[in-house]
Amino acid sequence: MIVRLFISAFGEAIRHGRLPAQKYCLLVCWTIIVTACSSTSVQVDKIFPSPLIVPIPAHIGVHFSDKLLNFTHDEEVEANGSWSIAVGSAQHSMFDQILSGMFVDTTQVPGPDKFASITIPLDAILVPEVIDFQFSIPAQTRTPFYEVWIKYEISLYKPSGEIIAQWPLTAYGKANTDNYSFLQRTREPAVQEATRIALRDAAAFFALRFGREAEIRNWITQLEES
Amino acid sequence: MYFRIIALPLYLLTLVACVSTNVEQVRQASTGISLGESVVVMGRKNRSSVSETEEAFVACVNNKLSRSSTGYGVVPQKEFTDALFPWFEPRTAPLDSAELPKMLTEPLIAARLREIGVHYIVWIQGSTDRVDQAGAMSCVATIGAAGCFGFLTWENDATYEASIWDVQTGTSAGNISSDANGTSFVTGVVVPIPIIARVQSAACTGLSNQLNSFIRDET
Repeated sequence: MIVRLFISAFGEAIRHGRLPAQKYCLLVCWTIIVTACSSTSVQVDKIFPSPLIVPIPAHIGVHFSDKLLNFTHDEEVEANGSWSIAVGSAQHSMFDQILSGMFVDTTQVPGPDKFASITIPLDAILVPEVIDFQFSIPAQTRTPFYEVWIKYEISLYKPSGEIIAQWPLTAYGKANTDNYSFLQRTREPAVQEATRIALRDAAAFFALRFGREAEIRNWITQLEES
Repeated sequence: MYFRIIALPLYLLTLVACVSTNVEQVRQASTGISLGESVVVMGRKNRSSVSETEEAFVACVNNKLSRSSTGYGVVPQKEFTDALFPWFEPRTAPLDSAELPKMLTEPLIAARLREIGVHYIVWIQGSTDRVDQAGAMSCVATIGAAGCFGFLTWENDATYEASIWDVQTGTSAGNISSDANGTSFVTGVVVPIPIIARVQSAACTGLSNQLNSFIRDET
């Protein structure tokens, strides 16, 4: 892209000999520096499907922390520029969509320090928190894949603030560079795709494994008995 | 004169190298598809797999099957995984047809499959890899002149296998493998002349044609 811009801007001048040699060298150096110091900003798709599962008959409060809502991963990758991957709003949409399908009713509530102020009758309060985000690019792994790992910690509280269960949720997504033509810019769309797949993976695992935690199973049993 | 200048590179670009394709089939059950039923073609994306089936290959099989199918539909992979979310994601999809009957006991899954009319799930595994290469070519471009000199050759091998699962019976109906290989060349005498062996396309055509016959029980 930069090379194309360079040619379109200065190609005519070079062809007609109007650009002196020193200026030509300076322009080439500038192009190389700009290419090397590139920064990549990634926004992740926010559309997730509804889960095809039987909803748990519970009224759940959900708290999304500011950290989760505004989460952006910034990293400097040696010789590959700086990366900024904004995941906050996508993971908010993902949890919102999956929880709406998993429980008969969900309501957004304030954080654990303000549980006492909640007046709506709830069966439990769920708090997802992003703990770690890592990604790798083909230049680092020598594979054709852009990969993303996300680790969440999920906490389920009683409305009184007492913890019912706390467990980690790990997610993984990868995007194959072979799926993009050589004329296509790969960096942003591939990381975007790997992150989107990781978020779907988190949602899928969360939905299917939720009832398998022993404490959660007991809580669901108590809920069904009451 | 101008026509020749334009036509020669275009003619050279259309040159294709030879590709040999081998398609094999193993049938485990009788097949057949009714009017209004459909097939879904899926690429395997397991976490552990170092090589992954290219989306272009899955799309190619999908397109060829859509064009050749008469009387049955082909559901796009994304539409299918979204409709059955979270059951067919890379880490949650059944790895073996033996897992299918248990999955079909879930009333919601069985109902959704009936709703979208999917009769067969076709899982595609494999990839196209460069197995050998030789030669060198250097290109030089200066203001007012450019040219390439040298000779390049490489051999590509496309190996794919399709597993066909019958959703109605919860069993594996069979497997079809398609193996294509060919050697491509680029000769550079000022103008580079590529002679490309389209192995992935050949493997896709072989697999799709056989898959269509297999589903319709014509083999």
